[in-house]
Amino acid sequence: MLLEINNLHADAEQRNVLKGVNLKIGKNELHVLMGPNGSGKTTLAKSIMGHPNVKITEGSILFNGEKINEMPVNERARLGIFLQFQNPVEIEGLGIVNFLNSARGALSKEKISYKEFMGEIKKNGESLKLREDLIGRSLNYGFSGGEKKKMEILQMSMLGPKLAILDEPDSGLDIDAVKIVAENINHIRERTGMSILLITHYSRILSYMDPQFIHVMANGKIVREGGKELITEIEKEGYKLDE
Amino acid sequence: MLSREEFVKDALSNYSELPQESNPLYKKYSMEVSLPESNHAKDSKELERISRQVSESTKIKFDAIVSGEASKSNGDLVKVAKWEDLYAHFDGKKLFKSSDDKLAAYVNAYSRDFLVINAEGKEDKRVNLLFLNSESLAVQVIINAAAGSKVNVFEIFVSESEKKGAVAVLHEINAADGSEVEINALHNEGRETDVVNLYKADVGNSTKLRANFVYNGGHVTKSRGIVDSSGTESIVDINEIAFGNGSQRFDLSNSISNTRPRSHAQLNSGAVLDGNSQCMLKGFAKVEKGTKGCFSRITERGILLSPDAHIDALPDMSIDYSNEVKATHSAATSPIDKEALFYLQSRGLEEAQAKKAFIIAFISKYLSNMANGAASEVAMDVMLQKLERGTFGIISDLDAKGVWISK
Repeated sequence: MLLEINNLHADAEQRNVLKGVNLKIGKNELHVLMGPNGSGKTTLAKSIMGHPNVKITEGSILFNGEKINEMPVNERARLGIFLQFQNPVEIEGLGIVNFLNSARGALSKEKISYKEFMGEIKKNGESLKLREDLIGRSLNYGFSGGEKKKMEILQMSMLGPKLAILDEPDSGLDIDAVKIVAENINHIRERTGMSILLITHYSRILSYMDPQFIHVMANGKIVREGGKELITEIEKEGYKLDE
Repeated sequence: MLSREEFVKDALSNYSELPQESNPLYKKYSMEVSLPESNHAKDSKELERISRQVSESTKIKFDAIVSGEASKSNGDLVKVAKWEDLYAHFDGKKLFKSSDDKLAAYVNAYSRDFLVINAEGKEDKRVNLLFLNSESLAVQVIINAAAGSKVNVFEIFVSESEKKGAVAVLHEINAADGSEVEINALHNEGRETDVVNLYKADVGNSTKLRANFVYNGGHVTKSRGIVDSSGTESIVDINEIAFGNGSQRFDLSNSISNTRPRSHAQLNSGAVLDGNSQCMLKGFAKVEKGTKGCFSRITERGILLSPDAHIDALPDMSIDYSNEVKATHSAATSPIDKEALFYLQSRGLEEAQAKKAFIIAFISKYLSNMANGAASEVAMDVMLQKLERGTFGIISDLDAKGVWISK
């Protein structure tokens, strides 16, 4: 099992948010996590990545069988965990190319030439239909919401994780951009064999993907699980959390 | 003509405060520098050794090397002049008069040498200056940019001495119509050296003046800048960054004003402080009457790396003309953003690497304003040395290449 979460309880901002989450993700699997606002989806994503404001009070997170509850954030990244942020930070003055170069240097021993590296960035940027001039700018600084989401996917492609946690990659995107982002995620998955935990509120992005497992979260727990037929059901009838 | 002695007497007895210093807040937030009543010369062999070392490390050939009485010009770009040579030139036209400011009075009294840079023609002139001090150094840099000329000046200040000392430099910039002037100064004096940086500019129509000051070294640093965007459609852009550790102190005061229509004046001040260092950022902007279509902005930003570091940011504005004028000021100071650190760590950077990347990003916002690429690279390298090793004062063994700098 790539990721195994057992009875996870966690606090965020002095509030008990996760109340016993259980989740298993195997290799090359695509899982979707849905649920109403405030149900704990983003807190779960942050707890897997090791956000300092999320305090695990009970339970365990295992990655490739290794318990990572207390592991520093950068070491989780080195194991192959990638978090696509719902609201990526802007860092003025931090050049994207240099940042990506540092991140890649930290995560991979594989050396590539500067020319190859730049070629890879350009290719990914073109595939995501990112404006070419954005690559020469500061990280996410002055980017639109859609450009930030695409930059996250570009980073994911460059860093080649084993598990990508995608926290609303579709929010704020126009119809065409949702398709572009979904297709890029699919290509990266095909190329790398990575697993995905995709958090979303909308079924549109899923129409371009082939999810195998759907989980519904409510009040800090996973309350419903199923195959992709669950998406249609939720789309038609809502989460039916009162039943 | 006043004799040297008369001039010194006049300079030291006849000074007042900058206009904004009558504000009680400015009186409250002010640091004192210790300035010796002398201007020491330096042993010329030692001067040559240090200047060679700095030149090799920075890969910069200096057009003039200044150290007390031993100033030396290498070529025609810079003329080293004495007070007597310039008396007629200054007659009634000296921008920074002793009566303007007590620090100007000090430099006027004790500067032995005046570096004069006369820029003419459309060719882009690059001038590199090295200032060395052992105990004390007072000097003036006079830049005369003729109409339509372009000049870019890079100044490096170092001191090899651990003795208590002082460096005081006064700039006068006369930028005629249509000229473009950039001045970049990297202050990297030793931990026991007090630093005074003064500048005053007279800006013509459609001129561009950009001044970038980097305060990396020194014990107490005090700056005073006064620029009037006194030309129609002139652009004045002042950037300064202080990087302090230990008990370093910075008192940075700048005054910009718009006095003509469609003039543009902006001041970006920043500080990154560690240890128990302190910084005061005092930006004052004045928008005068009759300045339709002008732009004025003060931005003050700070990062505190330690709970004992302290920044006082005091942006101040006075607007006499309120129609069709854009005028803004802002100030923000904080520790390193935790969300930004988490983001960088989630991409594999260790906590220390992430902090370093964040600091470098902050600094590069200021350095990226330098059109002179060599200046921005050397400044970043010197600041990186301080960040990584805590060292400053003399420049040697630069190995980083400023790769983090991003426009």
